[in-house]
Amino acid sequence: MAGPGQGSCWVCKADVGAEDNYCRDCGAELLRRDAMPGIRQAPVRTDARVSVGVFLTIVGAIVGTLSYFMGIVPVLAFGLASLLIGLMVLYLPSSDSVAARIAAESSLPSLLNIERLLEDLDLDERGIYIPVSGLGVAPNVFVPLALTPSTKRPPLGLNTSRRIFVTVGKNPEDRGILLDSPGAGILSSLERSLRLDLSRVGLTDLQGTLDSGLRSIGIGKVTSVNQESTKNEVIVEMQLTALIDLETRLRDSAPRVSQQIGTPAVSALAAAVSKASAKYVKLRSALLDRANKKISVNLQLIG
Amino acid sequence: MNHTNLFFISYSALAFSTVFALSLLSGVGIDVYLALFAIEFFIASEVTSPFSLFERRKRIVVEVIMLAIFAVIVIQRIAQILLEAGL
Repeated sequence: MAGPGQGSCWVCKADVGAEDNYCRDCGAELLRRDAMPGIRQAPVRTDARVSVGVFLTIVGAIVGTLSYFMGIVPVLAFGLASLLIGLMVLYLPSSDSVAARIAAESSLPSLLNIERLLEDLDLDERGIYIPVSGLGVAPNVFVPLALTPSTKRPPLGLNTSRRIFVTVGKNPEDRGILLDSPGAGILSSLERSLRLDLSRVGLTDLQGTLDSGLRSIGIGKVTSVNQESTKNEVIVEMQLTALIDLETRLRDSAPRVSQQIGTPAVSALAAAVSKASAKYVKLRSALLDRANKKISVNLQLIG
Repeated sequence: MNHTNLFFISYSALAFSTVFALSLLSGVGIDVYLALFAIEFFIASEVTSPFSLFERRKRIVVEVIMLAIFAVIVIQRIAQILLEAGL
């Protein structure tokens, strides 16, 4: 991302000037933090592991040295154990799989392509998840050109369509684009790990099912699923244990995808709610609490 | 819980319980503690697999250090026994 002065392009990393709005090499629009108040820099966060490592190393070194001179062997051993564990904590990296990181990085360009598509077609409406059933089958997302009675409830048959540009009514406004949901992979893995089709699970049991499913595939845990039937609204709260970097980067670099369709994690939740409720689902908001790695997703059910 | 955290928890539990257990015995030298720390490292490492396939170099470095500590202590003990026996 280009900074306030000289910087580099967030796509191709080429040098860009302070006055440039687009990269001279790849043509990407430069996102400037000073020009976009919505984009905030993530606060510098000290890794808890580093703190623990430094603490154990210092305590171990002090206790070990003092007890060595005092000749107290058990305390010396305690100091050495602390020192050894502290050094290992500092030396060994977190076991986030490199393969998982590469997989997450690989999905970024395809989502950036969707972002450009939404931008070029000037699509401002939020995506509608079309309910579907079947083990490992994820709902498609229809992003309408405009909200009309036809586009509010697109035909269920669109889930089997392989087209991108679709017309769902007789009027010229009854058009939009049809996309695979970004969270399709997560939802599919979740259902396969549980060997359960979420369309057979009601909204009342969704929290437990989603929680055990997301835990088993190592993405996070669902802390609550609350349905407000008066407002046709479902609020899902989730704590991420993986994909945090992707979630943060997408919110910065693909704001339309994040707000209109949802990031992979958010999209998986929306798709799960659509399957479980057998209703069309629209993303209202998805708030990320970066410090606590929590996402609160507000979904609208369209009956 | 990921594998690295599981490794640290299990290794810490093993190491500190060793310190506690051996402190109850009198006349145990620091070399015994260190040898047990090295063995416990290999046990915890094998059980919890904290190193991914991509971290082979780090794994080898830590294992060589631990093996060197263990080997020095064992050689020292053997030399001591041989000297005491007058060989």
